[in-house]
Amino acid sequence: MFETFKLFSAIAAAIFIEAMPFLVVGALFSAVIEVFVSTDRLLRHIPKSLTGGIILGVCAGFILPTCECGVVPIVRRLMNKGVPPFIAIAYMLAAPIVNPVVLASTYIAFRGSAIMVLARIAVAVVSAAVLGLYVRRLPGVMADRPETKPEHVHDHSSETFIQKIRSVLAHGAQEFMDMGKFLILGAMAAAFFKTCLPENIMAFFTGSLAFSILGMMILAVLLSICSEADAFVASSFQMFPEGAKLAFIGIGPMVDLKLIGMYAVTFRRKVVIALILVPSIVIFVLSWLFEQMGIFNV
Amino acid sequence: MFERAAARRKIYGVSEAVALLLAGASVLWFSLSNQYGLLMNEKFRWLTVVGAVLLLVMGLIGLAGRHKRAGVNTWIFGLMFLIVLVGRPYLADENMMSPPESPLQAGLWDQIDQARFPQMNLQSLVTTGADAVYREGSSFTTVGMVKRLEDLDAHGSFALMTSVMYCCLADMIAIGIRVPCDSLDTIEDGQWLMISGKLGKEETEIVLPNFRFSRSMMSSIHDTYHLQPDQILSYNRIDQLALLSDQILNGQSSQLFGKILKASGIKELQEEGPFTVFLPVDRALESLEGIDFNEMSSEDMTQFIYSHIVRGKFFSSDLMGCDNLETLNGNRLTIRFNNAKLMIDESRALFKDTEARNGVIHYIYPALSTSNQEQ
Repeated sequence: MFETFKLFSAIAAAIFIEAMPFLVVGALFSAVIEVFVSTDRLLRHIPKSLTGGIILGVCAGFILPTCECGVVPIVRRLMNKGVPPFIAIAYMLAAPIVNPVVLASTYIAFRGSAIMVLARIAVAVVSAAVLGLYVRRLPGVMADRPETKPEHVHDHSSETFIQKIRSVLAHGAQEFMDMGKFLILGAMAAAFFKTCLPENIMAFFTGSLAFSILGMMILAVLLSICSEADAFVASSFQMFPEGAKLAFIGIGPMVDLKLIGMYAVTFRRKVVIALILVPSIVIFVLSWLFEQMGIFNV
Repeated sequence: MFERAAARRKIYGVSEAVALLLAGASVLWFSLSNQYGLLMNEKFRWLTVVGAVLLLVMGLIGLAGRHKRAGVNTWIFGLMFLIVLVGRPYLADENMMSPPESPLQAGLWDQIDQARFPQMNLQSLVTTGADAVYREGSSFTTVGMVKRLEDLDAHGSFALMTSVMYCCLADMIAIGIRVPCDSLDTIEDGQWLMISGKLGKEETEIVLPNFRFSRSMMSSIHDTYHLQPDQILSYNRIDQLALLSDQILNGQSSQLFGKILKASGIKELQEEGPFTVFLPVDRALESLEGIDFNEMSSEDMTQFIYSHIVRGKFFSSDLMGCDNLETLNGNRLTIRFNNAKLMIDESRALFKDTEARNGVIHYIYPALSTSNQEQ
């Protein structure tokens, strides 16, 4: 019993230690946007058109690569500063996948499969675009909390540079604590599942393609593995078709136990449900379609 | 009422800053310790250090700012601390595999024809290197841990396994390769093996269940190749240990004893054995009155060393059943346990049971006498 608890605590601690630097950087970057970037200057560089906005959102990961742990505080701050939610959310979903580090690790994990890399980009871009389009129609996106209201944005323009640095660190600390609690709860939940799931549970999902995809998606959510490492884990599931592996690496960076809590504190309930359902449906359909088309055998 | 709530929120603000400081300090300590590899891939050490330092800085700023905050964050961070303190995941236990490189450095490697069977890391072989090795038809030697499965037994095989951690323990997976073997009854689950051979192509697909291995939840065995063994050597943990002489010469608390050992020219501890060494720590030798080791003859040094060594490998649990032992120079040592503390004559064992390949060391204070008459 104690051995099981020890394994649980080891996995929970490992997830926290792994994700912590990314969340710190995300929180500090969010604070830098708050303190140093003026709203006018930021909005001047944002495209006005829908297409331009979506393209910026899904491609921004190449300019500003972040993993899923650090992206939520950045997106929250961007939206507070007036960036249209459809662009910010498209960035939030796509950036943890469409960035050089994750794409390179996917290429290596799948033994040089460019098809898998392209398929992973495709599911990320389509999910981000579909959700972006949906969110654009909504009147409000952010949760009704004090820290997400526009008046919560302080004016730092009159501060000296040193004062601004102090403000960045203070805002960063608060952002880290607000998001960090969900990181901890998610890490505990993922560690619990990883410790207690029956070891051969995945055999239950090997009956059909649809079941395989579904099983791998559920597993990705429960395990909450970092997007930089998930391709290596996915590639080890030899009893599963490539489509199911794609579903695993597609859904994990968009929906996992750490992220659900962070989404809940940032967005309205309707948006949180959409953030879980839309990528799940898009990735399920695309993975199934790609497998049926035989693109992985090319 | 309102003031009390505000004061409470201020206290929570301070406690958040303290939680940040504690988190930063403990992660920084962990990231600089030798235990880092237990939970994290070594390549991310720098990243964890940076993150921990930033946490510390943010904690200090938070402490100075005294912001008003809610308590939930602190409670959840406190819960995490509690889990870590109780589970103590930063300590190694027997369920953890040694890093794959370390077994290859030990003595068993000398028994292999290294020109014909160069070493190959099982991890890189199974993850990325198998295709090239098979194409070239190269022979190699690799080390891994045995996993016996019924489905493999049916094919007269076992799996040679290792584990891979890409980022952290959460993504650790066990990977391995099937090894056909004629004498399966001699192969035990969990045994370390060093195998020389070459890769063969899998003719039929063998579907295996997922199994937990070491601390990995997921496992897989290479589906394209198997390892056709030429030679299988059993790998004992004892082979990985240093010799007594190396242990003494390189030990932090045994520098003076090591100097005397070197100067005396004693060779026994380099090869023979097993021996039990009651090693006086440096402090014990420094405090010896009337003895100048620089002026000692080689014969006296030998007698001094011999008076601290007995033949046989006696761990502290073995010493519980002993009343006295004879040293290499013929002295008799009285062994007793005083309030569960191991006493050798009048010396106390400070650290017990440091195992070496050819014996065991107990660090003692003060030094033992060179003859029974002196006692």
